[in-house]
Amino acid sequence: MTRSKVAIIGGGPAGSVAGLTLHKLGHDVTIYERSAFPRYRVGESLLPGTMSILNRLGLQEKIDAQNYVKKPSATFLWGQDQAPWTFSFAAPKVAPWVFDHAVQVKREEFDKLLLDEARSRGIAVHEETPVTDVDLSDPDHVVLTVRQGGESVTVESDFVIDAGGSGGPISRKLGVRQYDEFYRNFAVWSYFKLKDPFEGDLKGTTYSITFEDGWVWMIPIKDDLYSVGLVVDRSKSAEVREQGADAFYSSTLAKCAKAVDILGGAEQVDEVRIVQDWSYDTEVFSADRFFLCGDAACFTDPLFSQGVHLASQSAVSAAAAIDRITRHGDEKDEVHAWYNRTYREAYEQYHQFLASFYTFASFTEPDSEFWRKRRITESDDDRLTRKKWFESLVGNGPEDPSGTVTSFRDRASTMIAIGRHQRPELSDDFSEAELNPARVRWISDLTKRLNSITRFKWTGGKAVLKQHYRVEPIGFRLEQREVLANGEGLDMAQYPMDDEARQIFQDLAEEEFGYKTLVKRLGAVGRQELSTQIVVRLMEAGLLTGYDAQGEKVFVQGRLHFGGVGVEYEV
Amino acid sequence: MTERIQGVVVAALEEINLTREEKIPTDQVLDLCLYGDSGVFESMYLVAFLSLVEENIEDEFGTEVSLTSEKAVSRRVSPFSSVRRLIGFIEEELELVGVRG
Repeated sequence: MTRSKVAIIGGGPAGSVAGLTLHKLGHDVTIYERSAFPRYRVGESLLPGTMSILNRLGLQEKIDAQNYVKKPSATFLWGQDQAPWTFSFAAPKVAPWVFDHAVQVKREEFDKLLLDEARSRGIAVHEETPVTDVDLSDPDHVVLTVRQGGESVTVESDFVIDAGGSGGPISRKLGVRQYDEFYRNFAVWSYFKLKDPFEGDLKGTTYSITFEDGWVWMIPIKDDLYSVGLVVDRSKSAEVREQGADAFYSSTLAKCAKAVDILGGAEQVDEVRIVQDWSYDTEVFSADRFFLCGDAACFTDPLFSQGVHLASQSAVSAAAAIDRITRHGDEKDEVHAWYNRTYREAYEQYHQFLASFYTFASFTEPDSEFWRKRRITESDDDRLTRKKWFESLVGNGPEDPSGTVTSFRDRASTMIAIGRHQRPELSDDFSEAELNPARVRWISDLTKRLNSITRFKWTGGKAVLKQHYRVEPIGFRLEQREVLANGEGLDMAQYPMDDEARQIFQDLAEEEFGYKTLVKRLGAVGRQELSTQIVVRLMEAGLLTGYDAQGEKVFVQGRLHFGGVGVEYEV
Repeated sequence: MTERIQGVVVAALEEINLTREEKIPTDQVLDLCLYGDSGVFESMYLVAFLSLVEENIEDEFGTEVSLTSEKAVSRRVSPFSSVRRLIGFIEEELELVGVRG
């Protein structure tokens, strides 16, 4: 079989991107959306990775025509008495699909643009058509019950993608959603009439600002509007009930002096909105004939504006996975395993990244209950026991300096140091070029550490190749590829490897040579530019351990990976 | 000596171009920005590129030069801001250890 019939629940970014990708791959797609578009959504700030996906799906001209606010970075006023720091999206164009900026959008416009594009390409789109039930009991097909014009009808498809947002029906039906104990927050937000107060390299940036009760987002969008939201502890919901949402929003926002400064008396021009039950993931992201995408699968604190990217990336992956299973039915289990693994890893990367920045802030806001509750507490923090990244962090025991809360905070500190402004306050004088000396110093420190490794030890006996998958960036087909693993099943899946490269690591397992030799040998098999990245990834995966000339273990501070930015969509 | 160093740097860029989809332009190589806003390398790629140049310098001149020394990173204008600056820095370092063109 080469063509499947796919039902998609939800016409938001996850549903539209899944539809567009499946249509490009030649499948028969129908989207069922409960609302009539345009409809309001929060989540205006995007990441470069989403721009890349939309570009590759052929939407660049339509995106450009919208004149969205260009977002070059995210800027943080993170912790009391800390200089601002900027997380720049600047990235060299090492491939045509690398983007160095994102956009800030009005979601009602943006989401409609994507859904209209799906419709214009021939995808069947049914608005005001909620899916009320999904029957997954038949191994050969899926039956959806949809309500259309007051009547319930059943439709059959080969696969279903639930991109129905937090209210999507499949995770509820299967009972697989798991709420997060670490980010027990809720958000309250509204909109202000305010022309972006900064010029130069701060223009278009998103601000995230800590204060005693939590943090504030400030996002400039079209028509001189600012989205301004408060993320606070769920215990504050009692105050909302007592005071009312408007009074709670105004009085709490007033406590964040830095946000008030930026707003400078701007007028609030919209109602106050609230969303509760903030972060969650799922026991299973896909199985048999269903895939969960976007908020239907997982959601986490919006600090890094990752929501739409996680939605669109998962949509591309689900579409590519369905295409692969359609053409190679015998690989069904392997493809589902790939989807579940890569989705969970992507989600957990954000989770870890956020936890490190929350932990960092907890030390700079020592009197705040909100921040104290969000500090990771050494190796027994039972709020994080389900998270693989936390197990890896503390798994090597107290003798490993990379496995402590101090080290975890230091990783955020390093990132912050690289982006720290030279002035204590926000200013039009800020230039991204002023961040270069700190970046160069970080590169130098990393190089010195790596160069000091005179002997690498390979973990787990043999170096072997193992089957994995990747989505081909232009054609969107899921392709098989081989990655490096050891005899115990531990692998590093970020970069494909071949037998020539594997042999280098087999030789290393037997001869234990150092960094310079390893990089030289990787260069000789066509991996000049990626060599350092490969070595660091292998160290992070626990496959390589480095020792210096004195036999001391060399610690390379683990990087905080972040999907959707940079040349490989990571920091 | 400048030409020999330039040859080493360009050879490293060309070696990297072999595996790049978007090639690094080498026609006006002296003005090529290596790192920063309009640079051609992201940080981890720059580490790999510098290792390659260090290795090629050793092969060409028979002596080691560190491109990420404190001296290099504390320069007011970074040696990585352009190929011209990088060549200038390498030349100074080689002269310090008595290498002449």
